[in-house]
Amino acid sequence: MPPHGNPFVDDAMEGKAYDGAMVKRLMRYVKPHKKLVFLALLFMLVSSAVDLLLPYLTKTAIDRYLAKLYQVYTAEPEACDSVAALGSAPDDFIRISPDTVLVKKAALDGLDPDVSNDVRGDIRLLPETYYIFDSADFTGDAGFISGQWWLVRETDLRRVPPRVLFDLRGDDLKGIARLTWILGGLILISLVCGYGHMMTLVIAGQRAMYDLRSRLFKHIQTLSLDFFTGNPTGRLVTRVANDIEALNEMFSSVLVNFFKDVLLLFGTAAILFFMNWRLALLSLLVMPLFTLVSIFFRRMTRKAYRDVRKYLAKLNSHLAEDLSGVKVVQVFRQEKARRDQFLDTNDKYFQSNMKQLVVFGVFRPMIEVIAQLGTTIVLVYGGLSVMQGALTLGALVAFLSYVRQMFRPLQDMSEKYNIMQSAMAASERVFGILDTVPAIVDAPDAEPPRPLAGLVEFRDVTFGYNPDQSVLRNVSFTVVPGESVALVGPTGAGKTSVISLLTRFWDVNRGSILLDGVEIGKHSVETLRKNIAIVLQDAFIFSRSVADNIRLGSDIGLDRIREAAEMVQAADFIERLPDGYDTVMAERGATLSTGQKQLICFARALVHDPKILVLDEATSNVDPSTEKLIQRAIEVLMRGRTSLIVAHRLSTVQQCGNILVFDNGRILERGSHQELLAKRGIYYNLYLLQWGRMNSDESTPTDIHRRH
Amino acid sequence: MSRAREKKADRTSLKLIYGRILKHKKALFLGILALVGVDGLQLVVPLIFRRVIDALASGDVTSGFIWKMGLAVVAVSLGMAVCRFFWRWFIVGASHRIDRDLRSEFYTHLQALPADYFDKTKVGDVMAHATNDINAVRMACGMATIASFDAIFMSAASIIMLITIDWKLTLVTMIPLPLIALMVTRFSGMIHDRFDKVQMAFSELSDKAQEAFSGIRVVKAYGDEESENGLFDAKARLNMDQNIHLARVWGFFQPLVATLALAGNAILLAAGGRMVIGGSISLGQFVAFSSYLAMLTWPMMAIGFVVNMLQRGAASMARLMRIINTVPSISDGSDPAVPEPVIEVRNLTFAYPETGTNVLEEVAFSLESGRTLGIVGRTGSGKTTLVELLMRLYDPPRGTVFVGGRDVADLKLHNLRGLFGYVPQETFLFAMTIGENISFGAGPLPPERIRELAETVDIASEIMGFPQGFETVVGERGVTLSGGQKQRVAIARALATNPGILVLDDSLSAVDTETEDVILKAVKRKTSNITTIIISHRISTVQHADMVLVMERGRIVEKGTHEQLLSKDGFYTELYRMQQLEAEAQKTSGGGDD
Repeated sequence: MPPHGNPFVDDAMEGKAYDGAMVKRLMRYVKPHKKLVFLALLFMLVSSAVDLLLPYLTKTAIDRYLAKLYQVYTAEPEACDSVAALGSAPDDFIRISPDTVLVKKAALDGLDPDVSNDVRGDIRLLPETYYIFDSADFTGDAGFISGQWWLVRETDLRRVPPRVLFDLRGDDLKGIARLTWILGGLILISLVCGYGHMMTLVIAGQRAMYDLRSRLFKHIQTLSLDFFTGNPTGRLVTRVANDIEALNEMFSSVLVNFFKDVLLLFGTAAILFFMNWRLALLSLLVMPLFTLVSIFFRRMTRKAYRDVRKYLAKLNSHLAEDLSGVKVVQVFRQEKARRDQFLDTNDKYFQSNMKQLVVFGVFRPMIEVIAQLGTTIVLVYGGLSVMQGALTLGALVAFLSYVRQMFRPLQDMSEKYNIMQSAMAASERVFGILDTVPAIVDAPDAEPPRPLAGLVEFRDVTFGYNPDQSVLRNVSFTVVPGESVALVGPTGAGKTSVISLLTRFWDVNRGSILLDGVEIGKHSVETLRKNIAIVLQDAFIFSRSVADNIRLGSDIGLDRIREAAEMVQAADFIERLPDGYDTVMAERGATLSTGQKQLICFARALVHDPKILVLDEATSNVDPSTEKLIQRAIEVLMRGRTSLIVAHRLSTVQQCGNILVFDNGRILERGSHQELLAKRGIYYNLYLLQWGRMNSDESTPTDIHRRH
Repeated sequence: MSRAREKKADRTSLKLIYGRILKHKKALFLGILALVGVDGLQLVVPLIFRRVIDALASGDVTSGFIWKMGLAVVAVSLGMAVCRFFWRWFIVGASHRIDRDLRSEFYTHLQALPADYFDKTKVGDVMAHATNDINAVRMACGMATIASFDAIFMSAASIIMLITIDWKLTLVTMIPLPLIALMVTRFSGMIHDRFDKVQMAFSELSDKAQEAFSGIRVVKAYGDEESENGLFDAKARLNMDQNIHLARVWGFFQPLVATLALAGNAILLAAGGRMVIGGSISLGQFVAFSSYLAMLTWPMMAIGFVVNMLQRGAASMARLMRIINTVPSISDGSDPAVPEPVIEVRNLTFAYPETGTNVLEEVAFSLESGRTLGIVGRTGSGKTTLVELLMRLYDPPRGTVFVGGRDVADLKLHNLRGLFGYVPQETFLFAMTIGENISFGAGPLPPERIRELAETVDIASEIMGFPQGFETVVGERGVTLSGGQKQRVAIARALATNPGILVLDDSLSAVDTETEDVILKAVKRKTSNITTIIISHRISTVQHADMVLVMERGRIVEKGTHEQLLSKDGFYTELYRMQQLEAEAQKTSGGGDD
């Protein structure tokens, strides 16, 4: 197995949700976008601060403007003196008579806890709460006059006409109005910052992942063919496409909220402690329970989820099998058996879904119960504290909403676990590829790129795709510049391997290959690419314009492209395409015929004007007229170049000066067409077998045969 | 016009979705009941909080009361948890049932479709229907149902509670809420479109990577890496841009909904604060009002999601129905007779429905019971089509193909196909054990029988050589079967059903001539009197046949026994001579210097 990941453990459910080393490497790609990240943090800080401020605003509104409530304190004048002296603002403690003080409920909060508790605990502080107004405004609807004040019990307030109240509490109304404006402003800031935070992070994440993706793709392109043999295309596509997407998902749905969640969590906790540390500690009582339940259920979820995935995979592979094996199923009349199996798996899938449903159905409500429990503790303890006067009502209300706010990010975080896991697994696979070193690189002492004359020598070359299985054994031959050689022999004889070695898709195991007398490894890869043009059996057409398909890898102008196309007689059909040379091809050139695709590939080779031409002739049948075109195109191509051709057509073979007959990894016969025929060896037989019938008009071989 | 038609189709498929949901009336009812329970209880919580706060504010409160209220909150939240569990269980459970049933139906229907349907349909498409589309329908049945009922109850209940506190305040504070619903519906359309674009960009990116990696040899040979990188970068950039484009709406959506909800709060502070000051509502009512208001945010968001989910579900349902409504073009015959292994083909001309060009023309021959028919000819000459028509994998015209003296169209498919043991050209084995593959068409077979069959096709010793023997799973890591091994397992599979007619379609191409000979002889010996049709490129395979058909471009060009055909000195003779030469060539190279 090559070191790039085991294909069977693509299951992300098994991995860690956090891997320091991976995150560190990922962060390297985020670094170039640190300005954006910084901006995002700024937005986040502001919006979190605003989020935290909002309940405080409500508290202020209630305490300062709405709950303007006073309690009556009656005691001997000395005690009243000391209580009244506590006040810092003029309306905190109002002496209305020598033995009566009006105590503002909210003002008690501002005092030293020991002192305020003393006052609260004082039974001389009456529990009833009053709104107070100037006695001059007394309307007689409710309440009573005490000194210069008009006291209305909170519960009796509705008996006073609102008009009077609004008039009396003009300042409070103004205060409320001011707070509303502030609230509105904060809401707008929260909107702007929330959006800014999200966008900056998404953009930073997207750019970072674009860089990573782009880098990964470039890196894969540099890897040698053995890598591509070990990794099917589909898997590589998954790395470049889906795995990076999993990382994107992490950025956009986890990281965007994660920092904010953490900040909110700690921020809220800090505020809670600041407001009332005892109450805060109490509300955190449920945390261990929360953690325990989360861990327990994570384990349960994983198992349930694994089952769901297992059966879904089974359903899919069953279906895929039935679709490709439909005839076998029908002829063997196994529709019912297959159906029963499928329905059985489908049912198991259903059962596993239901199991998962139970797990989630218990987990989610349970977490909510725990959160509610935390709130309830605050309600009860806080309520009791308010009763004892150790806490203001406004503080309790605010506290309750903070506690609820604290549990939200916790729930969020426990649900993002899966995304983190698959992101970690994905980054491991991605970095696994990035860590793969290309096996074929320029040697340190490689010669600078240069034009070649075209002398090709194979010296005692032995080669196998895996070392213990040689496909070429002790192959030696020389092709002088301008000469053409045909490689013939049965499939699997090693012809294609010769080509792969010459283009340095692979390196030899033993022996050496020389170009212009220099070892192939000593040439720079660029020298090879510039001097050798290769035409492969499957005429590979890219989904770009025809011109781009021909100029592939160079910036050759349209004139020369046209010229090349004309020379291989492809110009005719190309010009008939909707946009001529600019026509963008369908995927794999699906709209072209096999012959047309081949002609484009020939033009591609021709336009690059290589010194060495390598051609793996296609075996596929084309119609007779295209066949003629192809034959002529090959002729044009070979003219004046060193050519190595894996030949399947007799006409091609005959055009080559020299023929190498391969069998089982060796060269068994060599010579010209006539020489080899005269030998009556393998070539002779091959000739009869492959071409005898096709060319029955050619007299010699068939005649020889008939005379047999 | 097409838009209108689309809408109508959507409506029809929506009805189908509702129909499926209504099949689970009981679960639906109980689930909704639980949902109402959750929503009802959810409203109780702020009520309790309000009572505590009001009591505290009035100062008329005992610690016992507070404890009682605390317990009440815990009890209520437990009750909510139970109800939450049950709505999930009933409604999401029902959606999983719908998912299961729909998949079963889909699969069962798929099976009834004839081979030609699968010739023209991409496997990937069908797989996508089976996963994504069924998923979308499930979401529409489950989550959308829940969300819509939840939204209706929650908003109704919350609004009622709000009105009981103060109707005017309710009206004023709810001004932003319809805006939320409007935003969500508008935005979800936009999000949908942009999401589609993201998906498209993603698949373009995958396609580009696919092309670059599969063309890697050409890329490397021409040093085209740079322009490949450029093209891929463009796709990656498009992907990035589309994602950001989506985030622009999606990222705005969430804060906006939150903002609009908060705007309600601001209105409450302004208007409600005034009312508290004016004494028309108490402070506790003010606090409760604010929490009921917060409860309305979710239903408003839910409405948008529901609309979106239902749209998608309807589109998916429409796609699924297109398959489910495809009428199988091969209908079963009515004649219950079990046919004899006798074949007669009369003047058969056949074209695949989608192409229209004749693959077979005026083919006629007959094959008696116990005889062997050989068919030779080039690729594309119609050999495979001919045998597949015999088994009615495709439908031949009436009055052309007769098996057991009856037109194949009249016979029960089950009986007709039961007569054949077919070894197709492309060996297809299932991802089961070798033993299971062999007994595929014959039901579970005893190990001895499986072994015996394997021996007949000369593969038993090779299979026993695998660590797992007959238990070796085909196509899994470790052992992979060679082409020749697969072919022989496929023959054993065909023989296992004790067929009346054995059809070998180039089924031994991957084994050498001698092994082929051994196998064919063993097959003949073990199944004396079996009627056999052998398609081959090799003369050696068909030369002992009672009759050989030579096919060319859909026609029978020569017909007769090996000897008769040789005397004709035609295509058959030529093929024969060449293959003799091949045998010689092999001897030379095999015994030569290697």
